[in-house]
Amino acid sequence: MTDRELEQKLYQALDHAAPDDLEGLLSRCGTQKGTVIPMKKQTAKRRFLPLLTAACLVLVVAGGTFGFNQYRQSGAVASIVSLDVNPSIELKLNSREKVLSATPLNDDAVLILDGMDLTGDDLNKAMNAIIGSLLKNGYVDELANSILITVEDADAQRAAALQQKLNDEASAILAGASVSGAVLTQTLENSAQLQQQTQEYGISTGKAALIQAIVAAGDGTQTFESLVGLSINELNLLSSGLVQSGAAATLTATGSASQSAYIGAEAAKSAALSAAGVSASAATVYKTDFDYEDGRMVYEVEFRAGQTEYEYDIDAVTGDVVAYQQKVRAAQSGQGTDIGAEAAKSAALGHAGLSASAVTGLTARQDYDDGLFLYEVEFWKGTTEYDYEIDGYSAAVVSHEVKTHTGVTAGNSGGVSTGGGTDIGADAAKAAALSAAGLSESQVTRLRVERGYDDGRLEYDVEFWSGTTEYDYEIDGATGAVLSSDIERGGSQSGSSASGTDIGAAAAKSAAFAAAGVAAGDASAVKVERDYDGGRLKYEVEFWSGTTEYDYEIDGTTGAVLSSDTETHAAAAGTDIGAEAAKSAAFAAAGVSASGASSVRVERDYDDGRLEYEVEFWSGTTEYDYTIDGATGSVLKQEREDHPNALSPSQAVGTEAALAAALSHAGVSQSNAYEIEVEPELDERTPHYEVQFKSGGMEYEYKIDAATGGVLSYESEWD
Amino acid sequence: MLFLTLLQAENAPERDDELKELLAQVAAGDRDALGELYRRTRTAVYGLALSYLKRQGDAEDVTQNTFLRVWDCAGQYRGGRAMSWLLTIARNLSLMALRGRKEEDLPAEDWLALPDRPALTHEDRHVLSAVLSALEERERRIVLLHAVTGLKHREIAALLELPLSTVLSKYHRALKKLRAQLEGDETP
Repeated sequence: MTDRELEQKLYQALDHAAPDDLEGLLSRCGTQKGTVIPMKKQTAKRRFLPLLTAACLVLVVAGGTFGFNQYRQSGAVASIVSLDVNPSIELKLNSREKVLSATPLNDDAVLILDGMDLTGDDLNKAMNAIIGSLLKNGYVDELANSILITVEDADAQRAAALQQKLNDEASAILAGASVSGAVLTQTLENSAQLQQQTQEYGISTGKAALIQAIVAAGDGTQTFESLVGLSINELNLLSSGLVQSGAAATLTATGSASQSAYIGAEAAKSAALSAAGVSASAATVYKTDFDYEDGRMVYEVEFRAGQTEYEYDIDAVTGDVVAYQQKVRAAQSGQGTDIGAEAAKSAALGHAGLSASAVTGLTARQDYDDGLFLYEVEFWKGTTEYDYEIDGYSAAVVSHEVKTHTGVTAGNSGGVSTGGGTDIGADAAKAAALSAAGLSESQVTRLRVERGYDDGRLEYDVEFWSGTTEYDYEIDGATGAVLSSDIERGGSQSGSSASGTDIGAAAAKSAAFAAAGVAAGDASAVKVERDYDGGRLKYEVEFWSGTTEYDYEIDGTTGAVLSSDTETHAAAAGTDIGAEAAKSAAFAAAGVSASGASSVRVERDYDDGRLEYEVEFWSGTTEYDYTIDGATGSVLKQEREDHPNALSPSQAVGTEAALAAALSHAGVSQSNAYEIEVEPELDERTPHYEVQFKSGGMEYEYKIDAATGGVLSYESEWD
Repeated sequence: MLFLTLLQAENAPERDDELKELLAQVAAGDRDALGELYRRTRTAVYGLALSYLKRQGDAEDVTQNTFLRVWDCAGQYRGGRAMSWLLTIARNLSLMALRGRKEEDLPAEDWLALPDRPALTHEDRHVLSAVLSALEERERRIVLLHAVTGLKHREIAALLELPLSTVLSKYHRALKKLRAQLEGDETP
């Protein structure tokens, strides 16, 4: 079975299994709700919504008296619990911890509470519902986002007990959702000033109290107003810094708040505004957030000034501008003539002040965005990446993004270091790929170069087309070596007729070696498999050379390379004895000489962090399967199976003869047969070939004796 | 016919423009467009959901809910590959459904015993059984996505947040395992 056939079966199975209930679906579609999907704003290079992994939990306890007079008189409200992430929610509880009211304090909170009636619920149940809603709506995500829970109760003891309970409860809920937390505890007193700030800024008392503590403990550069716009996450970071320095006497912290080394949102905002040449007064800043990109923490600052929207990424440690994007919100003036890809490219290059010859990886693609017809133009200059959106009718620059990639640093989590820290750059990567393909840049189209990290190693992904063949290369960003290649040939599947010539396994091997540039003597673990694919004969040739694995498909009639796949395996962190040594170890353990072994197969793999080689081979009628430790060469596992009735491949009649026998029995000529499949099953009790084919509306299945070529059994049915 | 469909899925760009058109129409409240979108992409969405959830019933629910979301939120679509947008929704819903599950070991679903899916042949059941039992998490997702969505390996890498080389090698390994499993099943 070929890969394609396998996928076809998969597709078919899924297509049949998938629900096909359009009626049921439509009956559930009422008016379109336009609910917010928790997707962050995506730029072209961003990743998809990440899995939820981390949050910070901040608890603030208040034991104050102000503002409670009116409530205490009514005797109803005993405690006020408020929750802040960005949404800010206030719960009022009676003395039995039942919810009297749940009030959203800002727009986001309205969304969180949508559809929920928490009145009369237990505090636990309400917490569950709210935190669940926060998670579900994406307000808690992989960035160290914080939940601030404040308890205000005149009874200090009750407040303390409630605080502990909420701490445990919230931690448990988050843990249940695989989210870890840090806790910040604060005691405070409510005051008239606090209440006023609450009202003025539309934030909860708890958030106000936290801000006040930070301001009080700070060095005087922060004002209450300057901190109001920060998210709880930001405040948590700020406060943790103060806690560690001992400046904030009223704050204590447990858990990890590890981002205290950053420049702070204010500094990031200033950096962004100044880079944009926009004064603080002219700008409306509506977001300052942490993000993690290209191996470093950045502040994302978004603001608007006039008709232009700006988005800046500021390095959280150095304050450098890492990337920026500007977008002018202009309406597109109706239909016009398409300016075409060339004009779009010129517009983009012109804006960047670069000529076409000065850049690499220049591409233009049509796209629709916000109802606008656009060209997306991308190119690189050195290690700077440019991304443009050009109005498809007017050639105006709708938006552009510039991203500088710093030099390579050693990998993040203990990955393979790239040594000297060089980065060959996109141009060199491109050249390496083209050279490997044996093509010049003028011979290819749709050239794309993308830079990225893989396990701490810098790599370039280079793609291009030549005619109907697609090339995909991964180039080591420090050395320029080709790490892997994937070549897919397009074209029709008609191929040769089944009665054409057969070049034979030897010729197929040679063709593969030649294509790989590997001498026959340098290849090991060579495996050749003959296969039919929709009536076309082909050979699959696999082999290793050094630590590179090769996979070729050779046309069985013409000897042309249909597809190729190469993979260079990086050396293991420890030693890697290599495929050859692994083989030897296996042979030795089996007491088989290399020449006595046939159908040898070696596969390299990691299992639970350990490098292993799987060595399979036959000797006579015995089948061996060894797992060899890739660092030491010792035998980890061995399997041995005797097939007393088995035929070695050389003793069997061969697939050709088997097919001929089946066709002859069925009275079908080879040229009338299609979807032919011949599978050797030589290690069965009765060694045989399974032959399948279709002809004239019928489907046939034969079992042919591998020793004699006789028909063991057959089946036919209408197709 | 099926082969042609698969080929078509692989020539994604033109087809994706059509999906974008449909999304725009759905955003405008066109139910027929939703139906067409459903017809074209339900298998891909189901494939992704199944690759996460491993259970027919859950995957079916997520599939239907995905299109419900699409109905409500097509106006949110902001460009880029339409198929990727659809699959991101499916992925999010799948992840939420996964979180909703308890940690206990669910018994392996017996695909061979599934009732009343008239189109599901015996071979289909074997194939699905093999996919769900023989492959590990990522291999399963990668190979299912590649088989039904028309996404290229690099797009799958982006969707699953894996390096491209990992996707390629897991893909090949998955196919090898599947082939071994399925051909092993056929011995008398």
